[in-house]
Amino acid sequence: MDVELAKRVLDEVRVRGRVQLSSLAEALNINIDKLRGLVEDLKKRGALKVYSLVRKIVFPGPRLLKYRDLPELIMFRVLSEYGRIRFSELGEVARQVSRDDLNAAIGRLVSKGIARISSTNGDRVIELVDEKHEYVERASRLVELLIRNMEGISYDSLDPALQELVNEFTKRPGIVDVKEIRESYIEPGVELDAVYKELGEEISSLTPEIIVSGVWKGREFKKYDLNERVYVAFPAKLHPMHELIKEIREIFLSMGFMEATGPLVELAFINFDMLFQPQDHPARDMQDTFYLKRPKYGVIEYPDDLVERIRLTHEAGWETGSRGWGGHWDVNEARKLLLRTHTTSVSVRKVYELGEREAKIFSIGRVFRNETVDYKHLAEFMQVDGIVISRRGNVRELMGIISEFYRRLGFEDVRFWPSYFPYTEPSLQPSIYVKKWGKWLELGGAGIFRPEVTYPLGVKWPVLAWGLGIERILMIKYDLDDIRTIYENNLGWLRHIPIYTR
Amino acid sequence: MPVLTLYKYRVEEMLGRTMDIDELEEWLPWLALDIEDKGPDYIKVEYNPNRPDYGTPHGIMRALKGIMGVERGAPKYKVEDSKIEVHVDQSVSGIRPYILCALVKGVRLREDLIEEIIEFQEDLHMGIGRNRRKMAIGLHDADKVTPPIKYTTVDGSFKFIPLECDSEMSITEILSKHPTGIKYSYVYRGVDRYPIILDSEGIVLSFPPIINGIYTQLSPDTRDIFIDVTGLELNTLMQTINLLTTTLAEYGGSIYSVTVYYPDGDTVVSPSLQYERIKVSIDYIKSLIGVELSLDEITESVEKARLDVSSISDKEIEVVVPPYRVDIMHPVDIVEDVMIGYGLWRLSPTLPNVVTVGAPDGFNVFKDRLSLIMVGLGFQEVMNSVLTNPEEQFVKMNLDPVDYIEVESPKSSLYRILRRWIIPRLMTNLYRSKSEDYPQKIFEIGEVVYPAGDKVIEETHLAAAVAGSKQDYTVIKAALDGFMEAIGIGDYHVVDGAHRSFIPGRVGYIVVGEEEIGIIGEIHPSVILNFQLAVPVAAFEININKLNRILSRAS
Repeated sequence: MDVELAKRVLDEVRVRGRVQLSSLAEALNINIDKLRGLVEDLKKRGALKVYSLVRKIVFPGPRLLKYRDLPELIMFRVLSEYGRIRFSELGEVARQVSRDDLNAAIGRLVSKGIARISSTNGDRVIELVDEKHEYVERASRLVELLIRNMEGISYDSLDPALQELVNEFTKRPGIVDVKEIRESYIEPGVELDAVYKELGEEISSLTPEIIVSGVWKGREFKKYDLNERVYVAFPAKLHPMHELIKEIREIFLSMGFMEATGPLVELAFINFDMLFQPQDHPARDMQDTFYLKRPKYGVIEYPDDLVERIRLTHEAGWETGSRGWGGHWDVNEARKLLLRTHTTSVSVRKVYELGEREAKIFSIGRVFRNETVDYKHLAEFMQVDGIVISRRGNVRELMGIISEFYRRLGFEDVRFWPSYFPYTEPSLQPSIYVKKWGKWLELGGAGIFRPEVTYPLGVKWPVLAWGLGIERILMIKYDLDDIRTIYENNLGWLRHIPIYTR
Repeated sequence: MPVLTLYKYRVEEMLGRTMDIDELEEWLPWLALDIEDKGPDYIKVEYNPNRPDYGTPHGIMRALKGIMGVERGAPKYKVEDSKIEVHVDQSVSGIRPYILCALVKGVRLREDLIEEIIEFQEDLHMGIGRNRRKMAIGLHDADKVTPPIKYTTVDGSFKFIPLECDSEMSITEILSKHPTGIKYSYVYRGVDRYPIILDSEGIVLSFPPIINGIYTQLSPDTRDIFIDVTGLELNTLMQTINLLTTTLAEYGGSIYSVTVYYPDGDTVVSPSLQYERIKVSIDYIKSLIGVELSLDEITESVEKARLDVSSISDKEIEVVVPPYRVDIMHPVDIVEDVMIGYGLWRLSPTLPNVVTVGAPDGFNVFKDRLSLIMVGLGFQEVMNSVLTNPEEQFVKMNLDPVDYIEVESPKSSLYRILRRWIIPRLMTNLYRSKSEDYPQKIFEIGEVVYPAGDKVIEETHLAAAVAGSKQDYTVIKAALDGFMEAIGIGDYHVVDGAHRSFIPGRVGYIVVGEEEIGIIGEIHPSVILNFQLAVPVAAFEININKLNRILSRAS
């Protein structure tokens, strides 16, 4: 049962006593059959009494509608105007009434003693005798009611005199139609209050009708279970990795770093050779690095003398004070196009672009490694890279920046161990202590760019540099044990994962 | 990277005192070693191939004793002349031109020690040797070798008994049937002469870099080891033989040199065991480390790093580097050794005193703003890899796979090309989310890459998709309208288009002014089925770079 509807029905009955079912359905704007079902239920529980009445409804008949009046009344009004009229003149003064109806009307007026017929000079004359006959008054009243209520009037609502008149009219053709209609009514039952209580005095859902009708006044609102497990409305959100990237960007910006970006497809020259990675280094192998099949080679858009300095540095150290890697440096190897293996490619571009000028730069972006993808490894992941160019940059400052970075991400314990990268010296491996996992985690590398990297680019100042993976940070924050989860984009995961709150 | 196991008993044997694994675990990272694993009586460490001298427990202990302060300065290795000669034939020059040899006498070998040395040899093959192509080593029982030695070539029919075999095999058979031969046969593809090392009695020491002969193999009874090293560059070979002989000396051996006679008249005596001298500015050391070190502290640190100081002044220090430190190529490497000897744990972090103004990348800011509009429109952000496969990008989308960038030798076939549009990636996301409630609305802003002749074009696109019953063109168009209005582009229209991924008559190109910036439409039912979905999908994708240019022109 629609409890709310039932309560509104009972409300109506309580206020108005007897209510006609069809008008109630109209007032509640619901289907009458639905209301009947509900009323039947309420009746069974004793909340309502239902009874039906046969009503006689009186409608105007076709003849009445044709004249919008009774012929005898038309005749009466003509007589009132003229007093007396010759039969021969009748067609002229009552044109709208047919001859037959006119004759019947005169007959009726005469028989009721309202008019009489006489002869003068062989001419028949009709004259008014009773100007205030009660038939005229009653019939006029009934006609007006019928004409005004085309949808019919209840027989019962008429006073007895008019009822009698209706009875008389039914014997005449075309004046009135009387139809019998069965109407259902409801009234308060003995159990109304009890049932109302059972249904709940309180209002459950608040509807515009309840607000406007005032039904809510003095009534309680049904109490909800405020912790009810309802359906979940999922908000659209940024991807958690995007949130983390934004946070990292904020950290470096607030430390005075300028953001840089660079292409995903790089020359080996920039990704490796400018970083003094020897050409036969295993990391440059196809096994580890994605080279493009086509186009295979790109154009080194750097001045020839820079390319030459880099060749010399690789082969024998050039003027850097290094002995170099030995062997032959092949420019074709450097022209190969690849997917950058680290965002350090962006850093080294900036070193050349800026030269010996104090600068702090960071970049965040995708990097690629030809790895077998599993729960620990991705072939494509995010890295944040940074550099500080200054006249007397040192290892302690490098440690300071990285410690500050992690501290702001919520990792208080940061340690540094020595490490090795071909393009930095000294090289450090930062590790953070993950309290909830109870262990140290390595998240990337750091160091000072080797003179073999910076001298050919025209920079003799130390350049502090680091490159850190950031998926692991997200894994710690969200306790993920499979790195692939991050980029699977399962909507269930994305919808249920709480926002990144640190 | 190579991994090595240090057993507690070996460490204690070498250190001459007890040492538990936990203490060892504390010390080893300060030598740039990564702890891989540990047990009650062992610890596994990973070392970087730039430090091949860490390839044996002896090598690690040599360094560890330094930072622990047990031994200081550069270890001294003496070398005497073995009088052994090696003669090189002209025919090797185009194939594998160089050879160096050495003799180490009186090595105390046990089964476990042989194991250590063989592993060391394999690590050198991988690292310096670049999988044996650039350099390869042969170790032999010197008692089985009768000098002088000959380094020459033979043809494929030449036969000998290789290791791990009990009968003779020809060179050709070894390269095609012997497991080790098959593994390294790539070195001699397309060659018809093969290098061989023979002694004066015709015994095969080695068929480098493939395999040794069985006759001279090491055994626990071996005391004197004859070493051959062959390869493509003399420098690499000398580094290797210096490393090998000094390491074997740690196993109790005495080092003897061997003279190699090249056909052009050159002779090379190896090992050279040359102690290199490197001068480093004191200021350079102090300023890079960031600590006002005293000369005594610098001297002590250098010696703890197992280097010698030959002279020191306020300006400069001269350092003596032992021959096994093949990683040292520049004075800056000495700075790092000072840092390691001093102890990295003693350095306190500090922030640089460099005043700069921070600024985000403008395009990234733009992208973030667009993301927030999409989120506001009810679209969940997704992030996909740029790497994907042609099946997803083209085949499932009813397109011909053309004009895309493919990578060489990918390890996974799922990631072998670069995406050139994002909608197919969103389709994959919808497929993975098919058991989640509908409607689903997702978007991504990210890079796409494609070729244009010899050039590579990188663009940033925004793609959005809606999926679910009643998620039709009206829904995605309403989102696009809202998006465009939010960025202030009121005047755009969609031009009828044809695209096989979409339903004909329900797809068009998004045009701002005269410029086409993207596509919008209802995804074709066959595409939906290709992604194993069963609900309508509508999507758009626009070029954000173009959008950015249009907006900057307008402002």
